[in-house]
Amino acid sequence: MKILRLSLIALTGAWLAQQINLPTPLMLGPIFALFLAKLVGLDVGKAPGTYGELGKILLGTCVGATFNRAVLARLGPLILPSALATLVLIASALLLAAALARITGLSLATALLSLTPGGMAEMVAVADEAQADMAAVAVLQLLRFVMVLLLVPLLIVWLSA
Amino acid sequence: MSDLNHVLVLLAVGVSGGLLARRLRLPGGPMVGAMLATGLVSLAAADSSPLPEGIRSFAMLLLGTSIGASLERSAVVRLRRVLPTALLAILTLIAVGFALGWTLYRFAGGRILLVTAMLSTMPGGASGLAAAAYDLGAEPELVASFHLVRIILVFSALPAALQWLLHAHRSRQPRKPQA
Repeated sequence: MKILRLSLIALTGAWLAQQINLPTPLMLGPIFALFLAKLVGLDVGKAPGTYGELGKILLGTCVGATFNRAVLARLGPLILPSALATLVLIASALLLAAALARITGLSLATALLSLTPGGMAEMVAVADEAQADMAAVAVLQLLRFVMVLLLVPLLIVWLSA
Repeated sequence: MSDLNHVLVLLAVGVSGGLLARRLRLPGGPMVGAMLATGLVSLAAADSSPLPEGIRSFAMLLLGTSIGASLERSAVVRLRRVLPTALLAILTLIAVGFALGWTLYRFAGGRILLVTAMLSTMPGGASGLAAAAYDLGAEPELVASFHLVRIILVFSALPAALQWLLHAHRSRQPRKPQA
């Protein structure tokens, strides 16, 4: 029954997000609706592991389906510059993590894994191995993920205005 | 060839690739595995017709639900003093990503859209940004590929960076007496 409640809240959130024109409504809607439900203390349980994995697989399949030579040709010359940009991003994350650990008293390992942009599930798994604070890493990775999805559309609208 | 067979074959390939990536514990996991498998098949078959939009919508709902449900109330309560500072750090990181996206766009000189460049240099998640790319009119194949580069770089650099930083940190602190 819990899974029914979970899915119902998620779908309602998706519908509401579409009504208020939230960016990426089908993803952000369920996220915010479930956050809210959790924060007010509603017991919605966890989503079955298959939800996230199937979602990722289907999305990856959609992306891969449109690959062709033209895409590769466009990627080629941009791989190196984008890799450079990523290195700057990773270095910034490391510096910010060091500052975060110092200011908040989080352990350095926890702060590093919380800010490193390497995928939520992966970072939480590494946190487990590195004996960092897994729950903290999960929450902060989640915060980054949601902030990116919320802010990027706004920044793009603002830029193209 | 955007018929039912095409869709079913690609779904089978994607699911196999995703499960294989999970089993091999590849960084980026099922999303990258499914993308690479279907990408290779699409390239080999010289067929790159998009899958029906409904599949993508369903994927986004599943992702949103699994992410939303992963929040732990107790962790939020415990971290409430840390959250404002963490938010500031995250916003700074997003600003860096924004500046990098702009730079990449200028550097590419019209070879990619501004929105594609922006989504490509953001600090993840790869699946979320690829999904957003569809909604924002960016090029999902490019966005996802650039994030694959990011994931590979993070996972090549992470163990060394962690060890180095933690070691530097530990050697500055006095050892705790053993109980």
